[in-house]
Amino acid sequence: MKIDPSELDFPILHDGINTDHFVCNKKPDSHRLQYFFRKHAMDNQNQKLSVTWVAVKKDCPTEPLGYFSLACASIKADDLLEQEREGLPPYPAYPALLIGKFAVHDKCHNHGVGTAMMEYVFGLTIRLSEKFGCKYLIVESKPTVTWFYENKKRNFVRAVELEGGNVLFYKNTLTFFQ
Amino acid sequence: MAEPFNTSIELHGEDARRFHEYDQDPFKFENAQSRDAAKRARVIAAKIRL
Repeated sequence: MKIDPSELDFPILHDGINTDHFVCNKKPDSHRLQYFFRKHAMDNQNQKLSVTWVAVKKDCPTEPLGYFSLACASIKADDLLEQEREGLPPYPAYPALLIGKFAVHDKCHNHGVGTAMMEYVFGLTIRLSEKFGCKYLIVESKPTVTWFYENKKRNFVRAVELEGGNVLFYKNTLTFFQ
Repeated sequence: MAEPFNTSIELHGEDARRFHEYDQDPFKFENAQSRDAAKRARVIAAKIRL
């Protein structure tokens, strides 16, 4: 059953969120996302390494349905497609917002939570890029979920395959203003 | 992580022309669904206070 995005809220992770209730271990390697959320997300936030935003239902604001962690980053010019580099000043790298982690509770798969979370990330990217230089939104995807980022709605651009098999995707921030 | 801004770079000739045509076609990958998603994201962004 789809969840209407208007039913969701996206607070920054805080002590009132029941992180231990977040379950994500159905798919290969996804238990790492569960472990990060339960054990490291708050520490990383306190250390200013990343900030974790949580998807909750407005009528149940302590129960996490999904989360994403964001951090400042950059993307190397060499990792952009050649046509993307055309017209850019020849810097070695460009400022970016990194989606470090992105996960949905196992009980919420195919309920629209991931789509709503990503559109909230897009919204945050828009706001950020209005205040600070942020040329790209980037993510390192596991090979098993590249379909999510290449979906026409998200439409990330596949950049390069990284060591270990992950794939680097990027999205030009200007596309949000079209 | 690489430093994203190299302030010692001076743009001349072809590079300068390319810089000024910088946003000539950043949208070549976009489609109707991604444009709709961007539109929804702008509505979301308007409600976010940073």
